[in-house]
Amino acid sequence: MSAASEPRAPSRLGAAFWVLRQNPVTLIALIGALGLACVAIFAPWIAPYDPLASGAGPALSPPSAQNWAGTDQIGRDVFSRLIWASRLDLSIALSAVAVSGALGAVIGAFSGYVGGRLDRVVGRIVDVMMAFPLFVLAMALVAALGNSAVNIVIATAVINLPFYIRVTRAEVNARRGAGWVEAARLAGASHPQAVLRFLLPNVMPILAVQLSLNLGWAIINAAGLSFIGLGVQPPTPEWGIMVAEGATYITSGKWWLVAFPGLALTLSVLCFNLAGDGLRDLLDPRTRP
Amino acid sequence: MSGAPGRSSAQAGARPRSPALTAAVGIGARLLSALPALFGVLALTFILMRVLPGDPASFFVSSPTAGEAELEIVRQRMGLDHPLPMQFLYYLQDLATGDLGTAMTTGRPVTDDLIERLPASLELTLAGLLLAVVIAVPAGVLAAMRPGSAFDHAVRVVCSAGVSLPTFVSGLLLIYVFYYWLGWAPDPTGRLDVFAFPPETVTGFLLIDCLLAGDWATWWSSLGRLVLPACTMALFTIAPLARITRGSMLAVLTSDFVRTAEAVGLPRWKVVVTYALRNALIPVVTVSGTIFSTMLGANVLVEKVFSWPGVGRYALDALMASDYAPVQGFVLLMATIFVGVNLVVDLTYALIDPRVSLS
Repeated sequence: MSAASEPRAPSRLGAAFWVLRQNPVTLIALIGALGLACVAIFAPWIAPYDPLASGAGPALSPPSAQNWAGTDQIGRDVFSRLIWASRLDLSIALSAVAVSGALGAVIGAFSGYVGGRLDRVVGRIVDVMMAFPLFVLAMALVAALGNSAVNIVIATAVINLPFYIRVTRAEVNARRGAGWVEAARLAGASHPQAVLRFLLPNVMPILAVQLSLNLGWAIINAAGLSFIGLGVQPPTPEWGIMVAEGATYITSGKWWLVAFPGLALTLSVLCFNLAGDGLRDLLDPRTRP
Repeated sequence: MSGAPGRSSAQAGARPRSPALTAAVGIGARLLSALPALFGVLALTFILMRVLPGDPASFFVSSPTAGEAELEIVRQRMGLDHPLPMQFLYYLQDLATGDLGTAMTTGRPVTDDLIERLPASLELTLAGLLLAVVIAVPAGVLAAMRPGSAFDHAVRVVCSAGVSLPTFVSGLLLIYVFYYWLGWAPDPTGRLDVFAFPPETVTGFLLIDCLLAGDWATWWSSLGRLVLPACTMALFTIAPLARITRGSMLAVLTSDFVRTAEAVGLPRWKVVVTYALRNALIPVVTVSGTIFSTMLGANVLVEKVFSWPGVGRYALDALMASDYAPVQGFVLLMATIFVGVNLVVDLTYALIDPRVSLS
């Protein structure tokens, strides 16, 4: 407490703690995201039942002390399936966002740095991609590539790509004439070095915000694809598939089959979105509410 | 940004033009600038659908056990034996005559199928958008008038939750609460009751057709069936709309002209509604284009949940049967609508904001 009142040189870490204390929602979101990662990593030890084995209880029984989230139509434990599904859902979203983030950053950075014709072509391609309703584009991609988790990753990565290209392109373009870039060039850095070693690290914080915000979107998209029957196939435990399987029973009142995977999806997306918003506030004080 | 191209601005200074002509030239240039995007969309759908798994020719042969010779004849008839660039040219030629191919699942031309189903999708999307605007704009304005208040925080929480809730989950939960639990909503089986007589198709929009036929019972029943899917669509649309409205309203409320209006002694509501809101709505109009496209994508999910007979479910059924012509037609239709909507947004933008000119 006393340390905060003393004037001292603000360090980035200190500022981060200050923002987190001012903004408990971000802190909760970060803890939630961390907890989610833990659940995914330790799934085999947390889940009480085998996610694929029926007989965890009578089929379609509501939540009870034995089956915390009830059982599905063939008597599998919904809670165990939820826990296992977090692995697949999070790794799909993480790898998709990582792939498109890395690829988009490099494409966008070179396009923004070089400018000219390359920049115009890239800009036009991004425009065309944005001219697609992106979920429909992802649908078409998975349909074309075939049903598998890897293809969901590819499709999700592709529809995320334009955002990263756009952000990096704009940021690098604004910085390419800066003095320190010229200094790096004069010190002997080649053009690719100037982009990869100096400009890209400089726009990294802005990219990090975009990454965090897109994670939630990637989760929703991947689950949506599985929901309509594209990509990951049953009986794999996956939140979108679980909702799709539960959809058949919602009109007869079996709410737990939809509500729990839905809750898992919503909570994880909420965590990443709020954490992303918090990160943005942390980096850019002007947008702080 | 897909803004107006700057080419014509160089010529504009040469000779004074009439405003009408300038506007016409601007609209023309904007239309032309949409062409490359549209062409890209065409090429992309073509490539995507050509790498789809499954031999389309095998659907058209007389029996599943047809020999290779018959398959070859069918391939020739479908133009599948030509090289890809030629196939693309044929595809463009067919498109120019409005021919999107034949759907194997329904046995009818895709164009007819899409035209028949599009009104259902548009009715759903527009109803959802309308609902979202009616809720989000006042909420955003009220939140901006008292930043930091309990209401402001409540709007933020609801928005964050709404944008995190996947449409297919919220739709199913709405069905559970309002159909199974409360019994207020009709069963989620499409836009028309099984026992209701559909009105004569004029526009394809059920609500309008019922009004034209003067059939109030069917109108009421189809409105009831529209409520839940439209709410589902609105749920995730409210968040971005309310957020933009709040942000832009906050900026406008602190601007000079609002301060002047208040200093002059105009009543608060008049300042807010008449002067501030009109200016604050400009970014909202821009964003609505993006939102509309997101809704078009979400249509597929919502239509599946509510068995809504729209283009999304049509494409999905075709996709499951590896019938690529309807999927191609659907993707093309969606992209064309989106390019068109963006065009309309740009034009509207120029209309409501005199500072923006098209040329």
